[in-house]
Amino acid sequence: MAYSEVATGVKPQRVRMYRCLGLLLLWLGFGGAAFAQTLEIEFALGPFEQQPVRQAAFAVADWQGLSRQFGLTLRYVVVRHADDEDWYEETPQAVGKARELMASAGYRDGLPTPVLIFHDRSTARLAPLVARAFSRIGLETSIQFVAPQDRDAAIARTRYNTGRTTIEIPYLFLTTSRRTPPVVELTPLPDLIAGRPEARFDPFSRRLRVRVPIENVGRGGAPKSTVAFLDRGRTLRLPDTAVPILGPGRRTVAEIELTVPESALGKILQLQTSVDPRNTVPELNVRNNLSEVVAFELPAPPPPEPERLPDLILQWQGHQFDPEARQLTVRFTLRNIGQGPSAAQWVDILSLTGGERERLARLPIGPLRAGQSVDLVQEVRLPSGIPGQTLAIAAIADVLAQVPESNERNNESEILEIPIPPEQVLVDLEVSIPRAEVQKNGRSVMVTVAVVNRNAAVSPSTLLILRGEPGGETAKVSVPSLRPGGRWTTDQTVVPKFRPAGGPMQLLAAVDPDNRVPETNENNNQTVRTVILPFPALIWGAVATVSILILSMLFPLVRARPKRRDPPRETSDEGQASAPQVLLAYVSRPDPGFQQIDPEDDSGLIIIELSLRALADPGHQEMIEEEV
Amino acid sequence: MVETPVASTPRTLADLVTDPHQEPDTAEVPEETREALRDDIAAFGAGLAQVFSTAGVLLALNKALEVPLADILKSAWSSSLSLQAYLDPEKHPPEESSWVSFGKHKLSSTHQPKIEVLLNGKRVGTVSFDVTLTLHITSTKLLVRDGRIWEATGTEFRGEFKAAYKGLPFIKRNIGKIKLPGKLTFSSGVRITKLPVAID
Repeated sequence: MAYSEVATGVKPQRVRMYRCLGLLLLWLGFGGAAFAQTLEIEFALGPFEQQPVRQAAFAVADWQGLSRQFGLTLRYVVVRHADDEDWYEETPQAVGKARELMASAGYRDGLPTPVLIFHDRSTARLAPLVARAFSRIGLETSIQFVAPQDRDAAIARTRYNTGRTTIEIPYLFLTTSRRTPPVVELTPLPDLIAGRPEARFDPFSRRLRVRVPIENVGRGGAPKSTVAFLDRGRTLRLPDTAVPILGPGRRTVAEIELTVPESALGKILQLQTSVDPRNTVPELNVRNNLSEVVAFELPAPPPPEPERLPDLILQWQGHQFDPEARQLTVRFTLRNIGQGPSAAQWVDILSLTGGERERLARLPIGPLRAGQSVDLVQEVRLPSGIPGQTLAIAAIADVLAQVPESNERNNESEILEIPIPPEQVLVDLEVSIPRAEVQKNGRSVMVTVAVVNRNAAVSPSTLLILRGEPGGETAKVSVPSLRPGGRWTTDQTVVPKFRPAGGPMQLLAAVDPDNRVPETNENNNQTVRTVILPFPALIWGAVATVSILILSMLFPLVRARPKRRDPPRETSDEGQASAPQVLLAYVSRPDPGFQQIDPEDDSGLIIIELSLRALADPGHQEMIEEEV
Repeated sequence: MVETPVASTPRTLADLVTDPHQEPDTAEVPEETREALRDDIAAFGAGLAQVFSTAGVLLALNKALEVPLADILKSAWSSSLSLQAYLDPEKHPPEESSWVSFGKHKLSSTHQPKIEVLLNGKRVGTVSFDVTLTLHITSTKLLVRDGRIWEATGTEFRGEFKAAYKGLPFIKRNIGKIKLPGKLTFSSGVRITKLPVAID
């Protein structure tokens, strides 16, 4: 640190007094200084000829601190090189700076040759400490004691002339003295001070401008320097800016401008500036290079304009279940209750039965304006195992999360519980006529009718009808309840109507004729079978025989008694018929039909023959057993 | 079929009802029925009412009742519940012959005999009667083999006979106790009818 001094003028008489006083004061001051220790460090030869190396070697150690370790109190430390001396009142250690200086000089890894540390008795205990400090920047050292009288000889030995070259060993000489910094010629120095920083902020462009007045209050001119802008609150990193040459008493304004990031908005900056932060300008006073700290609040960003987002919700409107088709249809409404439009998205209908989610249907939904709703109807397939249980379903809008909404938590509808009835198992009764046997020469037909339950449910009791021909007598038989696959048969006798020439006859059998039993197949409840009735030869033979007999009997009677004039017989119940089968009588008024006139009869009467023909009926028999 | 006639025994339904050697008793026919019959026959042709004779109708009806009694009996026995077991070849093999005794049982036989009215051989109309024969059979034995009835013996019965014309009573008879002597033989056998009781 260099010193500056102030000289004043004095008068003769009083001057002597003042001179003595001044000398006394000076003596006291310098006398005090005479008892203070001064460490003298002389660098020479080799790399020590370069200032950065000398600075690095000086900065690597806290010379005063090291000296205090063995009780040596140093007031000053003076570094000499050639004819230059630098006096220091403080010697802070700066190892990092020393390494940087060594690297800048090209000696990052140390010097190529060891360094000699010459010392005397006063610095004997300091020299090892210095050597240890030097090792931090890669300096190998060799310590050598040199008496004061041997100083020159020691220095002389640091040069070796090999004939071709001269080898110089860098050395430093450590000694102490009572020297004090010499009075140096007064040199006016500048004194740079930084005023109060001012800041302005444009919230629209987020540009921050900070200005600070810089003034040179010293009597010397200040060369170019820099001013550093600092935010003690560590919100922003502010750049440095250059300060031009300032003559004594001159002032300037340093200014920076930057864009504040959005993250810094709303925060308070602690602005401070430091002129000549690196102390490149020798100043009269370096303690006034920092300005005061000024708080500056960056305005908070304006609240963002709320984005108009949609909000999709679902509401059930109802459902229908078709038990025959086993089809479930659901109706619901999708609404956009948000402020913005919704893009196209998908809606899922899920089954939540049994705690598991199973998708039943997926619907594509087009865009919806704000406030728009759409009514949807969807047929849903039933999950397996549902019949007979309650189906719990829900619908989810925007199931693929394709639409950003103002509320994403209301996309699922309420759970709709729908009881599903069990599947109805129906029967299937099939009727058939496996056998039809014509009997009694066509006078009856023995029919076997079979009914089979072909489905998986028990059939109720029902009715079976059997008819011989259209319009014929109908037999009604009760069909009992049949298990699945059960078969029931019955034998019935059908008496057909008399057919003069025989021929085909249709047998119609029908089960459940009134369709009271629900079946899966109603088409097999009827069956028709055709049987061929033979020609009733016997009957016609008998008729022919009878006719011949009658005719043979009639003709002889008519011809044999042409003149019989018996009076008309009165109707009487006293049993008049003489023959069991034929009655003869005369009628006064002939009836149209077959008539026979006896040409020998002149009475004009017409003889009509009245006869009765009996037709027997074999009938129908039933037997009831009264005792077993 | 050959039927072995039994002497002094009724062979037909008519034998149960009337005596062929006696004149029909027309007095037992109610007047109302006679009038109805006369009116219906008169409608068949002019002048027929004058020649209508109840006796003649009775005679003709008697002819229409010539239904063999054996046919009536075997038709009833063939649908007997007691004989259903004999249709099972496992229980009663075809070569097995069994005499099945029947206890008391009632036989009901319904007929609809008809009488055609002919004028000069041309049918002009038909009158139909409703006949019900009820026999109370006290005992009988049937020979059963291979699902058929071959013989019947010891048949004893009594009964009653009713004939009606259009719901109007015509004639009514009580049949006294009759025992058919000997046996009835069915040369081809009478097949036992399988009754509708089979449920699988």
